Amino acid sequence: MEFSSLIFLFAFLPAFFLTYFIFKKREARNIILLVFSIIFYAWGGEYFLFLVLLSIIINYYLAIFISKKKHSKLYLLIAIIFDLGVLAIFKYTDFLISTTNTLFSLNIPLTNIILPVGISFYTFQILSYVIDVYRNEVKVQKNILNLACYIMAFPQLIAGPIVRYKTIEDELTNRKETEELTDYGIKRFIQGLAKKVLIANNVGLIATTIFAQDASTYGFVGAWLGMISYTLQIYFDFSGYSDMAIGIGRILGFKFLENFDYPYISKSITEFWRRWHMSLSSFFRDYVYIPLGGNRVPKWRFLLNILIVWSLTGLWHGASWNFVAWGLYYGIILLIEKLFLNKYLKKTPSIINHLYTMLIVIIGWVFFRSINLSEAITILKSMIGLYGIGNINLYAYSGLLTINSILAIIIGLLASTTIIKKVYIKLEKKYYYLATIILLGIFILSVLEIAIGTYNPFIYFRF
Amino acid sequence: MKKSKFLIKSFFFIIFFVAILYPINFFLINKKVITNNFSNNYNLKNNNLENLFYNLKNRIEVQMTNNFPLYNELNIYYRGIKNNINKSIYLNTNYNYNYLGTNVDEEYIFKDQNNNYIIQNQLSNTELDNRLSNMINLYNSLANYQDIIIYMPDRYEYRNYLNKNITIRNMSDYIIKFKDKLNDNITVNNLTVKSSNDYWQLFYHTDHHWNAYGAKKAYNDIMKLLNKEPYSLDVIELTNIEFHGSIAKSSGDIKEYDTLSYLYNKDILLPQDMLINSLDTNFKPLKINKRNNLFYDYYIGFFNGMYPEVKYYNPNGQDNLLIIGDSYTWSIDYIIANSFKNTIILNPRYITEINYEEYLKENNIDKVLILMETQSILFDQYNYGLLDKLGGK
Repeated sequence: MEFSSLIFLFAFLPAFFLTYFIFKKREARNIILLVFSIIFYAWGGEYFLFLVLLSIIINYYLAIFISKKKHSKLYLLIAIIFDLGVLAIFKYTDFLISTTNTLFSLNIPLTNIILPVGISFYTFQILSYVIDVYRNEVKVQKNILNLACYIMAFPQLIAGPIVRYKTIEDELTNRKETEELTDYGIKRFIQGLAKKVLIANNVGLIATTIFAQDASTYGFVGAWLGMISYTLQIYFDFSGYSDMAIGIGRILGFKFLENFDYPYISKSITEFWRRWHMSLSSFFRDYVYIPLGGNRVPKWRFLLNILIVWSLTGLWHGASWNFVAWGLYYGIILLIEKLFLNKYLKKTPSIINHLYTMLIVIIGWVFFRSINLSEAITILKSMIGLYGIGNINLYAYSGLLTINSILAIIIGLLASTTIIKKVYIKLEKKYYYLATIILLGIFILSVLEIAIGTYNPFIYFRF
Repeated sequence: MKKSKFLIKSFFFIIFFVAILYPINFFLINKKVITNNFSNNYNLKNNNLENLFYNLKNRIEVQMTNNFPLYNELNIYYRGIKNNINKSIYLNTNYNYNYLGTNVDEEYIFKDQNNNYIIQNQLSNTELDNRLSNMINLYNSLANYQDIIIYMPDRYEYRNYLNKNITIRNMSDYIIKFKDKLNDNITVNNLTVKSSNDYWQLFYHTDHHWNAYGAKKAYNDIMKLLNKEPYSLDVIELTNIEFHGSIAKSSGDIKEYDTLSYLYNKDILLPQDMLINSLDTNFKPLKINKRNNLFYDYYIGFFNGMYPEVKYYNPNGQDNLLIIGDSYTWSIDYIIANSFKNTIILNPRYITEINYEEYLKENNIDKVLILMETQSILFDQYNYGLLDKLGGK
């Protein structure tokens, strides 16, 4: 079920809030949250409901065994093998088969296994729980319903952010739904919905239209227009979803950590990755990079650690070599920055640093967006003008220049910075009711777009 | 009132208010105070758990979308405003095509300077190539069991000679590739028209379907391919009904409409006179009442073929025909059925997996006709899953 769908907004959400707030007891509210989360998940992937439930049950018992300190390492190993094994089977089997086929000229048939919705997100959440229990960083959860509630809570179940157990450990049993949190949650929810529906979908149209053509026909203009649109689309799509998740979480009294912090205002790639998909970056930092030794190891090992972490980051996003290339690309750039570029970046003007960062990010999205490496290379060639300026008419007659797309690009560029947020806060301080009416107007406009528009699934669902 | 309460109350008021309007809407439809949009409430045939769940979800989602309060009115005004603003940009920049939005199948809709609609799917060229190759393999493998006739109702997008300015995507190239790679026992033909004016005589202006004139031409072509003598047909126009086709509706162009038409001959059996699915029923009546709902889909309402499998039995016929067909088929299937004993229409959107070879044997099929929207034939563009449904065996 999509957050940006009529059924979610006007059937699921009202029914959930009504049922949830009828009950006063925390246990009852958690059960309601769990039941609705199960319905929410089953709506999009009923086949795989059993897989999530099985994963919860197995990890619940393994965490209890780990907490008893006897053979805890063994139980941790079993948990990691089980969780990553399931993820590998469902997400990477066909990738491995096709790679083997290519390498050894074989013809092993693909399994065509369907990727369970949100498996990459909930697997990492559950892993963080068992590892933290092993590390004594959190107490083991003895109530399976609470654990299920943590894993399955519908706001973050299928597209993140990756919520660590320690973040909401106390809130599972002791949270308070307050007026302030609800007010903030609603604002974040509307903000996220508008990001997705009004900006991401409209700029996405430009990107999709351009990239539906042959890569060699985009030309310089098309390739850049398409990539800038895609750059905006992926940010507003994903951060919009995170905003909605954080918003609903806040209404329910959960304080999920932020997932994005205006990544496109970064002045270096190091900074970009501190601001982009923060829950994933910190997961890899805490559960892969640091256990590998981080930077407190010989230089060659440090280099290797960075490359391992970033290939895995790429692979997490999708089972394909261009995602690995995308990850390694960032790994190499981060290494270059850490080893010598950072000291030069400190001396160069901010504007140059911004341009450098955005250029690297946009090129990165080329690998991310492309179906395969050869398409990525063709787009990159177009971006440096090797296929000419491009058929300008193409963009004209494809009708890309619509009021929606122009506004979406302008607002998207502004909203990628903190300008709109600052203006809204000032307006709200001075004219609260006007600011709130504008916000509600944006909500209604988003609903109209959904009601009248077509189905636009979130990009990050496929991960 | 504390300031934060204003937002909280307003937000919850909106979502609960709209939520409550849904049952009110259903109640009013039930009491015939207002007319429902046409709802696609088909069910998959096999009542296994998977299908039951799918049917339930599908029904709820369709009802939620179709019955969004004031859906039609909002559609009209919202799309109208957007299109008018965009039109000013379009005119000022003298573009050849004006983008109008997407339809329910997520195809882009454009309008050219002659006010003609053009639709195009969002699939990439690489994806189209892959799909074309898969579909060619599928038809070639199906042709191992029985000769196949494929008939394609060309859309405007395919005819370069109709509109030389069409360069969004040269779809006619795909037809050439398609025909080249099919086995010899597959006959392919498409509706041929020679000029833009002729074209608009054969197709609805506001809808992607052919009108009765186009259907009649296709019928005659198809009967030739099936080696049957065609009936002489009259075109009946339902002039009292304004048929707002799906393209115009999706674009918010409410001033544009067509006259719905159908084919008739006093000597042919109409669906209600034939046995359909072994039941003497009004299953597929060719009659329609005028609806006061602008957005009612008369084409679907009139021809009404949204079923996985429809079987006509005509006691006067001799051989048996299988048609794998979509909504283009609905406007002529009942006429074709007059020339056969058993005519079975499998709708690829709604059928579940079948064993094609056994199905042909069980039903003693003598001839197979594939008659669908061209891009479904070439690319399975609406993701019917033809490869899995028919290609398993």
